[in-house]
Amino acid sequence: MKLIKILLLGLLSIAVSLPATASTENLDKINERGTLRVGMSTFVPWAMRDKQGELIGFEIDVAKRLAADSGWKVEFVPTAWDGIIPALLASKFDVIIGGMSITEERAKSVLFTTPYSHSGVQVAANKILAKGFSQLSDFDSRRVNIAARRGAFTVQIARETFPKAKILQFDDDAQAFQEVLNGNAHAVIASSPKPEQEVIKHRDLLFLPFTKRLSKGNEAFAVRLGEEDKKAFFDKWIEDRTTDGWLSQRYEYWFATLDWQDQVSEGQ
Amino acid sequence: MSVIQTKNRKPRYSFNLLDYILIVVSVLAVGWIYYRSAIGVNYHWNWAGAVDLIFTPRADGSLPYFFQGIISTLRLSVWGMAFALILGTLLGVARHAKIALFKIPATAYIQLVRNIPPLVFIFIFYFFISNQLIPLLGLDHLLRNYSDELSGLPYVLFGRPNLWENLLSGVLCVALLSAAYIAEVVRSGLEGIEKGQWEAAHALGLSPWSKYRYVIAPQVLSNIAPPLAGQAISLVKDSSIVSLISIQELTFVGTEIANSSGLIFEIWLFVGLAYLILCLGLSLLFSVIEKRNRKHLIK
Repeated sequence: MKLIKILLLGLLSIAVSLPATASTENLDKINERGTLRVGMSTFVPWAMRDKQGELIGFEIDVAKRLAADSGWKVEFVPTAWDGIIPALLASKFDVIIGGMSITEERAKSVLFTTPYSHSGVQVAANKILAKGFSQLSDFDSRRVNIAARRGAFTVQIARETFPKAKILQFDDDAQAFQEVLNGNAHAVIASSPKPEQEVIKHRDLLFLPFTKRLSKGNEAFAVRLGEEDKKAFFDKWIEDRTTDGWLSQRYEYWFATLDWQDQVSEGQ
Repeated sequence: MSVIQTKNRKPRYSFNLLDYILIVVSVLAVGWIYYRSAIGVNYHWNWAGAVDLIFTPRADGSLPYFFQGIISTLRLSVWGMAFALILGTLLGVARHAKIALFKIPATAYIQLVRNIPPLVFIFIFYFFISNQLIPLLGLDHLLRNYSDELSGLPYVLFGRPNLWENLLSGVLCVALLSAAYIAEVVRSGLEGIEKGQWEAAHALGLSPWSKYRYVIAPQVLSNIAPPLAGQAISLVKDSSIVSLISIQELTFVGTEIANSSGLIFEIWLFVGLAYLILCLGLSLLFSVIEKRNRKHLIK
């Protein structure tokens, strides 16, 4: 009788404790290791290499602060953008902090936290090819080529806004802008502030046809589906850092100023 | 006496009219391409900036990032080649065997790898197979949690411990791809040996090991050295596609630097130059080895 009681008690305690341990299981793995592995991809000014080859950028600041606040070390895993979601699913790192915009398609394969930044999408157009274009409808023509970074949120925006135009997709933003500078595409669509910055650099060749940004993106961290404990933890952190203004202050520094420009090589 | 000497000397090459015409045409063609690219492409070249970027050491004083990429590529190529040679030889011998148990799986593997694009193979292998394989072998803990920093020779050979898993996946990808091609080279080498050689070895009562080691292998080796050299060079170049699965070798490093700095063409030209130097060096090395191997054939 006593044995049965003990057994029952034992089973009960297991039953009670199981959900409790399971709920922070994923977070415990990071705690155990003491290192947060962050997946990111080079994307100015989110994350880039400075002259010495060290990583700098908005994402890098965010990930470093997140790790410091949580008592972890941080390890960056630079990843090709095309393979960043498969790499997350294959457990190559714990979280994507890579300026990834929330989209419905992506939400089917990863779990997004609450957004931590809101970037816009802007268009920079070639002064000769797109002369006099000022309406969205001017670009929505079969004769118009629009360059964008492959696999990015901007491609989707371009398809929705300019359904008739031909979208040329490139591996990275630098190539997409070069195509417009070379006069092979009428316009390039990219996340702000890159189009604004490029227009300043190439005043004689580029202009901004629209004063308002096309769409507002919501960037969030991404974890694997079902890792609710990690999401809850990151959500809390994002909320705290949004409230105390740290996130918007860092965003301001990387996106609205060019104070960091002398850390990277002056290209173009 | 002097007549004999001039006879022995190589005739000095003298340019004729056709040569001069060809030189002029080539110079014009290069000039025209340069001119077109200068006016057709709106690009501000900044070689000084690019050179400066490539040679700036890391913050902790270690090798510049670009050169770390070159070393990664070398590491990937050396281990990849070693592994591909072993596996390729085994597969080649298996494919040449008469026993179906060896022959069929080897043939299936070779045909599969040779007939799907390398990129597809790498994606599938990296995300599905290597992901299962490494934990299965219990390597993930070893690879991820080895915390001591290496120095000296082991560091040159294996690099930083936190990239070991990365390196291993890359080496496996490159080697498994290349092994299929090497297997075919080995098989053709084996088939090129005259039947009489096998029969003679057999008639002498040599064991299978002695037969291969002392009769067949030396002949096969000197025959397949040139195609093997070609395969090794293409392995170095092919290692660039593993940049897609984020192995941090030369091409990946190049992408990162080019994107961060905006010096796209300069950096990519440097990356191209680095591959050219690596591969040219290899082909020189192989031609020296080949000459040495064939010494016994020259009377």
